[in-house]
Amino acid sequence: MLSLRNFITGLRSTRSYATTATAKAATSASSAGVSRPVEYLKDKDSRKTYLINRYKYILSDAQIVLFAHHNNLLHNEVNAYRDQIRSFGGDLTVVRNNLLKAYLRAENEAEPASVEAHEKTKRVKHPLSQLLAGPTAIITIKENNPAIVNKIVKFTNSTNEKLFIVGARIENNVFDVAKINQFKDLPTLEQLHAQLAGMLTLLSGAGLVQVLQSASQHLYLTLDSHKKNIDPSEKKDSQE
Amino acid sequence: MITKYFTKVVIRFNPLGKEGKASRLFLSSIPPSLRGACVIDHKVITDNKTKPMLSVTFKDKQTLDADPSTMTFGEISAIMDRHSRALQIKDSIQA
Repeated sequence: MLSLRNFITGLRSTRSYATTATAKAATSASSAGVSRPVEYLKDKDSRKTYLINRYKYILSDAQIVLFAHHNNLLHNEVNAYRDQIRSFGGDLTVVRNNLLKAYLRAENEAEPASVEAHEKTKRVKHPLSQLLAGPTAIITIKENNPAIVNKIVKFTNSTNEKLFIVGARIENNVFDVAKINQFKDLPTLEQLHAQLAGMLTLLSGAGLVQVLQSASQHLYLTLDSHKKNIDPSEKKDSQE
Repeated sequence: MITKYFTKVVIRFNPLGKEGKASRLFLSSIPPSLRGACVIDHKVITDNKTKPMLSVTFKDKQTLDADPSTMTFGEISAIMDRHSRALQIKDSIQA
């Protein structure tokens, strides 16, 4: 419900619809026991609140976030780059540094744009905030697939100083450019899983399974014999 | 910052380091209209072996260096502007 409400408040273009929908959401929330509406630090219809909620929406379901520096791009260049990156499976978004910093600080709060989240997190320094200086864009990728990163890195190498990658966040780890270059050549997670499974079945798989099983099997046998010792019905059986 | 008299910019920086902000602001202050006239050689460094650097070559072939890890963007642009303004005056006298 919360994420839905964020998303709805995020859609400013359909504001008349949004207000009715948020009103509905508020009434249903109050009936569920939550009485207080969210108190936003900025006005609830302001662009700052909207953008923080939008970053939450974009970043919460992105496995990989690449941070890129963009340099005075012309209108047609931005559109071309955006289309190109979308064709690889990413999404280019130009961000406002301080608002993204504010979001990253309060990432684990339920409402990052609220007064409460601000009070709690205003002294926190996020490790990614170093990357948010100067014109910054983020490229979000929903699936954790190094092949997509590889394509995007190749593409940004061809755009010279107009668009280049300065860092990344991959599953909550901060990556610098050298680490990204290592990461992009890795096989995907599914491929690694398949390789591991294949290796276990082929190479001494049975032996490994036995070793892993032996502890629990031993425990089971001990408990079973103990049960036989203390259970009177079983004792009778053995006496007869 | 006056960028009209730049012919080459060489810049090496680590975006996660102290020099990141000044370097990126410097790069972003070079307008797209200068793209044909000014060569930008940029490199993102990640190891400690390469030192961050910034060097600008002007139309009169003079090269000025600055250290983005100790200077702010304002200080760097003041150094570059000092020479650019000298060139500007020379230009206006000749014209």
